[in-house]
Amino acid sequence: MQTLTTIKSIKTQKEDQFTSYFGMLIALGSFSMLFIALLASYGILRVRSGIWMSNTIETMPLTLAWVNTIVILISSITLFMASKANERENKIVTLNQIYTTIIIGLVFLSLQIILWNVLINDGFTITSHQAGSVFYMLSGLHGLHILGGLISLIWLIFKIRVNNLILKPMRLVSMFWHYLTLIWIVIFITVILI
Amino acid sequence: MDYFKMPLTIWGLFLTSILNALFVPIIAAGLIILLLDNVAGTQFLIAGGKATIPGGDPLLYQHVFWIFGHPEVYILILPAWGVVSDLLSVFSRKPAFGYKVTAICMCTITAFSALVWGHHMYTTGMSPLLGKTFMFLTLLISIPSAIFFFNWLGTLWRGALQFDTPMLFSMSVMWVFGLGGLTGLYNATITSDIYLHDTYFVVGHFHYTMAASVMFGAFAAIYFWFPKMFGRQMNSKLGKVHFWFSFIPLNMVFFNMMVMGYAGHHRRIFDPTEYEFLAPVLGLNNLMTTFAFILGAAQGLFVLNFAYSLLKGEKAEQNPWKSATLEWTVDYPIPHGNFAVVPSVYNGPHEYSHPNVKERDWISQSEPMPT
Repeated sequence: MQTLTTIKSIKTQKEDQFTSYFGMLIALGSFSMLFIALLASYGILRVRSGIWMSNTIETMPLTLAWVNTIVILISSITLFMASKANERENKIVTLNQIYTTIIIGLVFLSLQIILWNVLINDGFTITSHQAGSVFYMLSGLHGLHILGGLISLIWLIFKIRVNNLILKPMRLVSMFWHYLTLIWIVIFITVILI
Repeated sequence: MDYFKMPLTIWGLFLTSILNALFVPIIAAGLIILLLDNVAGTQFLIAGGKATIPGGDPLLYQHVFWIFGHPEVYILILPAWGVVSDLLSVFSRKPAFGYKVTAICMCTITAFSALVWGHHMYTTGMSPLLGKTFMFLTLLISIPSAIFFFNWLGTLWRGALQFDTPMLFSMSVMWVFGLGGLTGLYNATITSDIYLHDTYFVVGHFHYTMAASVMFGAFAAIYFWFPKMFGRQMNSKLGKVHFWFSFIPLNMVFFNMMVMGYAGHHRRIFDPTEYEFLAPVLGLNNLMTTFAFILGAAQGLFVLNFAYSLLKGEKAEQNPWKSATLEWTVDYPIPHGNFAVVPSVYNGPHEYSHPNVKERDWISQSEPMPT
């Protein structure tokens, strides 16, 4: 009887995990539709306006954008290490890696603001070109989502400090964070590089 | 409970929630663009003389709006389809004809709904090639729709029909949705749509297909599940009066609207008496207005019935419609968590008049089928 209840509880636990995982996938699908719609609009605007970022500003701060991309990639790696430590049930390493991720996330946001400032000083503003409108809209929206990601990471820290067994929220929050990294890379390639 | 034992209502709600999660963000994107245009001074949607930087396009907003807008009508109608599919089976006392096919057709329509938004935009100056593609995809949707419509007819065929209020509303959904679907073909075809675009025909078609179907589907559901929600039956005589005073005026309004649209009555004209070519159909305009007021007033009967039944309605038994689905196995008031023990599901959702079941014509999903 005892084993039966354990089996049952493991089964419900697994179902619960699957449900939350599936729910997060749908939520990410929701976010994707938002970014897809905006990126599709970007495509249309770009074709119609004829000029783009590379030929609107002379000194595109590409280095800064590359540094930013690498920064957010590193934040994804530290969060991945946090999940691994969490699986090994190593609370201290998990917490430290999440703290690192939060700091790197803040660095990313600050670099983003610096990038914006450099561009605005070059005369590339939200109203100067269609390229500017699209760039500030997409990077601003992405920045807001990063802010949401940071808040959920802080929530995760509270969660971990209260109880140890936090496989599920750890997994969901890191799914969201890695997703934001991916979105930034897409924005970086389509809007800035090409 | 596996997927192909779910009631079709649940299928409808399931598909609706998927569409909702995926397509509401599209309108959010459209609103972000619109907001930035209004607040931040961007020119995403501004072209022509007012534009100071090149590249803006007002058509962009129409695309984004309809990419959301077309799935949105399916968000509204899928639960109604599900409810109707289930109720027709309950009140015909036989299993829903082609249950699995109906479910699969609903999934197919859900997938297709994302690919047809361009049929709202034939006259916007979109590329004709694109228009043809959208026409083809739109007409393709009529195949799964026709399949499950015939499944509804198959459910009714040689059933022991009971004309309770929910059944009347379910059958009226078949009528309004059938008529709306047929007139949709004229709107989907570019050649006829260029004439019909922006006329009352489109308004009539929309109200038949979407508004009336959803409204009658919702009424069917409320009359059907009222006993489960509040433990009392809704008054059936008042319900039937409400039905006839809704169904007939509704047809008088929107059928005449389609006739007027076919005569060329534009949707957005201030004073139709100004135009000579509209003179022969102006009488219909008055008729429509009269019946629209009757239709509106008739909904007072529903409110009255709802309030009266809530307070003084006849106490309902646990399963007043002798329905096979799981919700009717729960007592009123429904306990927290619905079921004390998670019920095992043995049968499909529509086991009516099964030859193995003696003494009654239904068997609940949670009862093992006798052999």
